[in-house]
Amino acid sequence: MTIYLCIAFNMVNTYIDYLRLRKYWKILNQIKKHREEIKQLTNNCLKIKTTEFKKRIKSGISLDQILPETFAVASEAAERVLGLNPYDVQMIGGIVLHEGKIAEMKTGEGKSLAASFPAYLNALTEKGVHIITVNDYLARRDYESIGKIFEFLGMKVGLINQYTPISKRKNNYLADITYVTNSEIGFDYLRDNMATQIKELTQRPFHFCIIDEVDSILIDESRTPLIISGRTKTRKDKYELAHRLANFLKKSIHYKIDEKNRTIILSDLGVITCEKILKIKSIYSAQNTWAHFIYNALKAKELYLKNVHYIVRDQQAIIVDEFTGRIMPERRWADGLHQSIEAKENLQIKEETKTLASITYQNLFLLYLKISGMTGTAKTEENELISIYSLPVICIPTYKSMIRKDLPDLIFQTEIEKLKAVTEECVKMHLLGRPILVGTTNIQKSEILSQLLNQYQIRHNLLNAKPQNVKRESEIIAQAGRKYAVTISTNMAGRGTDIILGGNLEYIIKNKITSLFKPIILTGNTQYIIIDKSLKSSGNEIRDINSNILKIINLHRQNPKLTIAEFGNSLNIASKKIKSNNEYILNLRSIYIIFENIYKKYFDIESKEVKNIGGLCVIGTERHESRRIDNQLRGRSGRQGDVGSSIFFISLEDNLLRIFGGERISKMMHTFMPSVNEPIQSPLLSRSLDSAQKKVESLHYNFRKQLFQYDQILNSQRKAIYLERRLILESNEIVAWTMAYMELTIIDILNDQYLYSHRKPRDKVLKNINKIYDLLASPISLIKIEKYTFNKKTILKQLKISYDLKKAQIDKTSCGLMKSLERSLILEQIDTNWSEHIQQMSFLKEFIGWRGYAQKDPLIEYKNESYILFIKMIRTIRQNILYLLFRAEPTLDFS
Amino acid sequence: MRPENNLRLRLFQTMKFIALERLGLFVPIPGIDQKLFSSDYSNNAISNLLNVFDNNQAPKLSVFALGIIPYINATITIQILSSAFPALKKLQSEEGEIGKKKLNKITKYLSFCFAFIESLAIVLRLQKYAFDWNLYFIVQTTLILISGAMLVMWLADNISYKGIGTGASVIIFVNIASAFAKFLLNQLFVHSIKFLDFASYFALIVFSIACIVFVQEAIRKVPIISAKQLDSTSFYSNDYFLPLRINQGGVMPIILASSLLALVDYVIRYGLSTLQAVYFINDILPFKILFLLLYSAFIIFFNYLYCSLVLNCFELSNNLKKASVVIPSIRPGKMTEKFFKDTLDNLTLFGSGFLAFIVLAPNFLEFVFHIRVFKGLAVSSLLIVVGVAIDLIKQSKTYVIAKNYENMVH
Repeated sequence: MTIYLCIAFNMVNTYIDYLRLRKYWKILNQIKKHREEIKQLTNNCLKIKTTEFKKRIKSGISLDQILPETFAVASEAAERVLGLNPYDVQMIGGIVLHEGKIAEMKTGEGKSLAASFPAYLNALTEKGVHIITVNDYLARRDYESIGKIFEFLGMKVGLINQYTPISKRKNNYLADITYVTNSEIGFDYLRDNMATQIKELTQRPFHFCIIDEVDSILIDESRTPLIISGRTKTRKDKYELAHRLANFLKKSIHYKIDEKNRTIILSDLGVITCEKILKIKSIYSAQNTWAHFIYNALKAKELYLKNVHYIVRDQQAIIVDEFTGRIMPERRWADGLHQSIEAKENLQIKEETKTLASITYQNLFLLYLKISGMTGTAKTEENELISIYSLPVICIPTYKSMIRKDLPDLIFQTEIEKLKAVTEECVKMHLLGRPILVGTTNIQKSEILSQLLNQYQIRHNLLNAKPQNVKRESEIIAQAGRKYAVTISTNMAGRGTDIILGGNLEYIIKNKITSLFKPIILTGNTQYIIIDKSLKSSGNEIRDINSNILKIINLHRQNPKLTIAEFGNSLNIASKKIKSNNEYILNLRSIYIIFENIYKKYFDIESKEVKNIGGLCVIGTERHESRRIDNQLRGRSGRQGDVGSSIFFISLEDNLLRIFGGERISKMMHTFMPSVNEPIQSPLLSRSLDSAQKKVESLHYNFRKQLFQYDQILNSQRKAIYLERRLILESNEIVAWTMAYMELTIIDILNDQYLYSHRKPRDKVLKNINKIYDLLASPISLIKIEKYTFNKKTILKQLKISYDLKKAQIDKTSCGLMKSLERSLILEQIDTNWSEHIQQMSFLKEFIGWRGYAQKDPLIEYKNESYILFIKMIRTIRQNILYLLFRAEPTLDFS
Repeated sequence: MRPENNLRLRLFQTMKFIALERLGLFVPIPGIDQKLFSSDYSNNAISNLLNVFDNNQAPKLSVFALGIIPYINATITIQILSSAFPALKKLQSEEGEIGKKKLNKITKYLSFCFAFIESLAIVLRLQKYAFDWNLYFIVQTTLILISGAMLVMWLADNISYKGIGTGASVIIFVNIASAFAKFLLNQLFVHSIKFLDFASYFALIVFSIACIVFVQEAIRKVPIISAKQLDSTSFYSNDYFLPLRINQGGVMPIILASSLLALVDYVIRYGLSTLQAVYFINDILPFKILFLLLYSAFIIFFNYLYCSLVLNCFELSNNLKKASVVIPSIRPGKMTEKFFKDTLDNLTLFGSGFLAFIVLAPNFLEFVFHIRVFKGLAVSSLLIVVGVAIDLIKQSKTYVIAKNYENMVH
């Protein structure tokens, strides 16, 4: 019965997908028609098309109308430049992206190429298109390959990664299409809004972006804010002492761990013990606080573990990202936690920081007029993507249908049983010769598993964030699809990892060529290299290679300073078959092609063998907190219609089940399971696992949504402040701003006074007026007469006079000094007060939750109170400007 | 995300759904002698049933006669049950969106059950008014009432989602307010009471509202500070506090007390005839002092009971601990718990006194001066109206602020 229901359900789903995609097939047919005509055009005519399109857009034609034609042009260019003829599904992906939606495309389907079409189309508006990737490597790779298409079509392409110097950033942002990483775009945005001169600005207003691995950025990363911070004091001794204290305290006697919320709860005894040892009255006293340090030290001890949450490298504690398994050297935990970890690991304790400016990815990307994105796994989170970013997810069918087998989970009682079983499974599969990828959740677990496999004497590669392993990443991945290959990995083997059955031919050839040339490049020694007979090939080929090598060596003599990296770049271009006139590259290419001819047959044979025995076998050792990460791991197998399988081994002691599973699952286990050793494979249990996972997802979603709702307020304030700041930065008439600020300040003070004048005693009135004149720094005698009969007009007139006097005084020193003084003063005041405001807001957010105890909606209270804070800040800024300006004294500095 | 941030649009949406709800109140149920029904209305059992929460004074038995009552009943039941059953509490506080959705679903099913019971209770008493009393009539009328209640629940949901305020509260608010308006007009034009009486009545209402606003909004600010903040370099203000309301229980104690009073009355009157002497004593004592005393005792009792249900001191101090937040100069743990217990006891005492006063003052005046004008608007209704109105104002303000931010950018 259920089976029939499932089938019916699937049929309905397929039909809905068909309806959703029907529109795209229609457009695709139009593109194909245009393509036929465009094929006849010469390269130059193709290039001219770009200018023609731009003209047509300026004349008012909509992007949707010229979509088919532009896509046809871009795809033709892709074929001519890169030799890639886009598949239908890539085109459809491109259309979806243009519509500002998320295209779900599986690994190996060519997302980068799909993104090029909408990028080209939208760049025609000349407002800039950003293609956003998660790391520098991907940005560079796409810039160097896909970017060539745009250059061929006469567009400017830019690349920005962490090594791009500030001076070049502006130009690269001005390009029609810019490849950039998510963190760079965020930090440049913040830096632009802290600039003190117009020439420091780098970015244009955001227009259209295509985000690669969109779920990673908009969901996993959305909680992490980008922060520009300044340094403040550090109390090293306190961190160290707190660390020693934490080691003394005992779990469940002195403190408890709340795993769900990832916090520590000190017991009453714990508090007293701390106070006794530290010989202080209270750890919570405001003068000499310890509580914060103790909590952080305990968190560092119990909740943040080495080789799980961070690694130690070069005397530094570096965060390992829980979603990608990669290290994040620039990121630090906030609020003293990182310092506590440094104390724990006996490292140098770095300074604490103060937030100067920050923005979350959520709000950063909402600044774009149009967002779109692509990823392999987004459908499960469509709800969130729609509600926050209004981004629907469209599943793009794969080029070849997916035939990977996802086997039901195997569930064990204990972790040890599970690991044993995983090892046995590895041995079994290894004997068959199938390549195996084992996914673990952290470095520690990957190492345990590696040791277990060592006991069985199975050769394997270990891929995790440890430096020695990271170095070999691309090599490990390139070999991971070969026969008998066993790879143990953390989440690093997830996004963007393309495991090719039989091994990655391109990578291995490049490796061979590089090692061939390495001695020449490193030593500069241009001795003759001769390829010997060890290469299994005919004499003709060897002769060809040798003659090409000779030519390259000659070229080297002319340019002896070539580095390995540069050589790698040239080799990349050579291997991609990108059009080039460079002699060097052409020579490299001919070597590459010869190598390819030699090796391809062996790879083809191995690939066929691996497919015959069942393809890549993915083994998951733990369910992650989100189904998406599991699906990422599964997705490594079965790429481009290959065979493959995936299976998850789970134990009741896994974090997910232990913390979120509840008692029901373990009860069910006991009834189902006859003995400890045997696993169980039951759909019923799998379903409750799914529901536990969904519960966690929903918990995280809830958390993100709440954060978003609160952050919206700060965001509106940030927008307002940044706009004002930008206007001042760009304004030529700075006097108008200063005057407006000063007048508003005075009116504010007077209003306070008018508002309550009937109630306030007379001297209060006087106090307010005095306050104004105090601000103006004008002699008291001037106002004596008007003490009781002041009015707005006279005061404002007085203000104008005082201002003119001051201006004359300052401009006497050097002409135009007043102007620059005003500008820098205003900008500085905005920046310092904004930074202080951010701090205030974070405290407010922390405390507003307690309002719930008076049956008040914290969000509403937060909105109302933060507005008051904001207005207060604005008033402080204005008042300070007035105050400081009138107190500025010109001094000549001859230094 | 809520769909619209435009205050005007949201107000319009609220009006629209309220209008629909009001409209339904005037659609009579077929098959009933509405004239006879409305003439009997003022003192029949049905009106008592319908009158607990909203002063639904429609003279007809309408499609929406049950209104939002089943939903309110269900919400209160869930709230009380959740302090008794940890599983329910967990859904509410620990399971995030899914938990809240589930709880919402349970509440709605429960409302359906309440609607079923209540509609049946009404229908079974309609024999006298029905033109054609048979099974078909019973089933049909029950179904109409249930679906009416469900429809109102849907309208309330729509108000919460597209309009402003919590839908259920807004509907109750409107019903009370309209009943009040009607009552005033009735007094003026139908009963043509003296202007002076009317004025004194009006003054009393204004006075009560002022009292209620004052106490309803009065909070004890317990200063709190987090470990993180203690360490912060920037100054900290005293703005950070945990508010405890003086009238923690809101309107609930009054409702529970009056229900119990009615029950006691019922039992004595019809069950234990031996105790009927009580009425005699009550009548001879001045100002019905016995009644007043009993009523206030009930209110105070229920206020204590309800407050202890709503706010658990142990949990509160535990939550503070979890967030590593302390009350300055009070140790976390046992001492904090005790502090809360003492504070809450004091607050509850004051709150109970206030509730008893505000409820009984009109009664007292009535007995002293023998005027019966105060019957129109129960104090419990006033409490509700004030609470909802304050919430509405606060929420509207947030939209105005959002607009202000927008203006700054454009």
